[in-house]
Amino acid sequence: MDDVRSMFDAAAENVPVPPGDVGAVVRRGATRRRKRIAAGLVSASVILAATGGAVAIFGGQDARPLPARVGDDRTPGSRLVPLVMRGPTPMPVLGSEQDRADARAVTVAFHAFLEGSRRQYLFDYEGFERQGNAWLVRFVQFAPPTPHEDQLRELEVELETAAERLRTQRFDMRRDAQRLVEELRDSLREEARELQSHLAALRRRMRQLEDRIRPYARRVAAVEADQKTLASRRPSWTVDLTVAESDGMIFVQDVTTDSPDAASLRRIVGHAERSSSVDAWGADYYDAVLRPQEPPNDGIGVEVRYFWTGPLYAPYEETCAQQVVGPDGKVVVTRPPRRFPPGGEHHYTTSPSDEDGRDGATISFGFDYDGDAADLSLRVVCEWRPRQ
Amino acid sequence: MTADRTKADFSEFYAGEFPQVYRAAFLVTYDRQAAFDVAQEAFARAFARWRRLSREQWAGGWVMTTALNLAKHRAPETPSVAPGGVATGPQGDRVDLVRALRLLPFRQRQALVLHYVGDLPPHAVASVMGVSEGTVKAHLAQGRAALRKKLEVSDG
Repeated sequence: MDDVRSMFDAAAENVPVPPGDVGAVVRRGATRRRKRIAAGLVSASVILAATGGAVAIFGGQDARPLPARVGDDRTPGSRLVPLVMRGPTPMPVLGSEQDRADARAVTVAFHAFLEGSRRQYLFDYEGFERQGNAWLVRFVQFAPPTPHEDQLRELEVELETAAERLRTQRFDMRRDAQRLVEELRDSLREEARELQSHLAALRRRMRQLEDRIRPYARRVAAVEADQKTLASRRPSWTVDLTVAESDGMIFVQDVTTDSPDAASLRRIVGHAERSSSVDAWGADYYDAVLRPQEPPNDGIGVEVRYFWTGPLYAPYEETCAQQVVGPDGKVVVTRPPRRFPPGGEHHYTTSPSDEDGRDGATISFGFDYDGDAADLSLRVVCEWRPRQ
Repeated sequence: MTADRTKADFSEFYAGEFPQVYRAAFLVTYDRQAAFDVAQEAFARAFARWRRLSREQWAGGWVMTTALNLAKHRAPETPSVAPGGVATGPQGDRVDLVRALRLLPFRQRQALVLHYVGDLPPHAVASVMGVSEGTVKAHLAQGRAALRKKLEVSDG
């Protein structure tokens, strides 16, 4: 509805206002006030009798006696004529010039009377005429209100103003309450809108985070899958055997391995120890060198040397495969297993003995690799089985 | 309060409130003389009660209500339209809302002015118009709709 109200405000502003007349309002209001105080109008013909410089007033249609003195001489130039109360029966007034002069004096006095005692004795002077020996002065007399009537009128005015005040207060309260409700409602709506906006922003942020996490989740899942796959593969392990000779027999004194199944391997070795015959033997150690190959070859060259502490003899043959492992743990190259002792299709050369004079064998091979040889390591995977 | 002081206070009050009261009376009666008479009478009645009214903050509202109550007896019942079918404003210019108001039935015009210019709530308008509050709300709704329609036509 604001548009209609604003139109009315604008229209009202466009209405030219004439100059007011507060003087006329005051005069009209003053008259109205006098009439409000009075009980009503009593049109009366008041007979004035001038006797010895005094004027008696008899008045009213109901011939009520009037009080003798009722005002003061506020009107400049006026003089009061003492009023003498007589009975209700009118008395003649002398009709001489002096009477007329007295009548004018009475008129003046009455005007003073009017101005000075408006509240109690209210007259509107209408004029005077001679009737026989009397001067008839006409007034519109406002009969003085009785005390009770005066109070009653005052109460009526108070009630009216109080009622108006109450109506205005009710109106103000209702308007204030309505305004408060509207403000609260607007505030709640605004708060709800802000919360919804914030919630939408949080949801967008969540989706962004989920998008960012998704690749990592995939990678995590892939890594977990790889781990499962790796775990399911046959493990390879390295084995170091410490072999000793005794009475021409080769005994394995110790074996170290990173195999998770070391216990079963040890059992095999242990069986060989306990047996009177040598059941197994193997290289007690090896070392390996990985280095770039010399031109014209590219890539990495591997040389693995195996050493035994005793002569080569065994009803078992050892088969070792070599794996070159990259920095990320993945196998870069695998060489097929080679059997020891010599014979068969394997290749080996009798390497120079080490400083202790132990025999050994050397396996050499090369492979292509773009990285640094220092990042590589060698893994040897060995198996033992009876010789065929 | 002396008589001179009374008059001075009332004169100040009169100067501040008279334009608004006159404008409201004019929007109801659409007669400059009638609006002036109505406004003057309302203020005269206020002066008769000034000893009490001068202490009240709602004295202006009292005068407005009195003036609009008097205006309903001075307003023409039938719409007044100048030759040519177009109502003109006081200065001869076309004032859309004033024109549109004049074309409304008196009851709707009275209700709209009492509510929007006199700032009276519907129940107070009902008291001034001597009808029920529901009737006032109906007049307001119909009056607003009619105003909007007439103003849309004038803009189009």
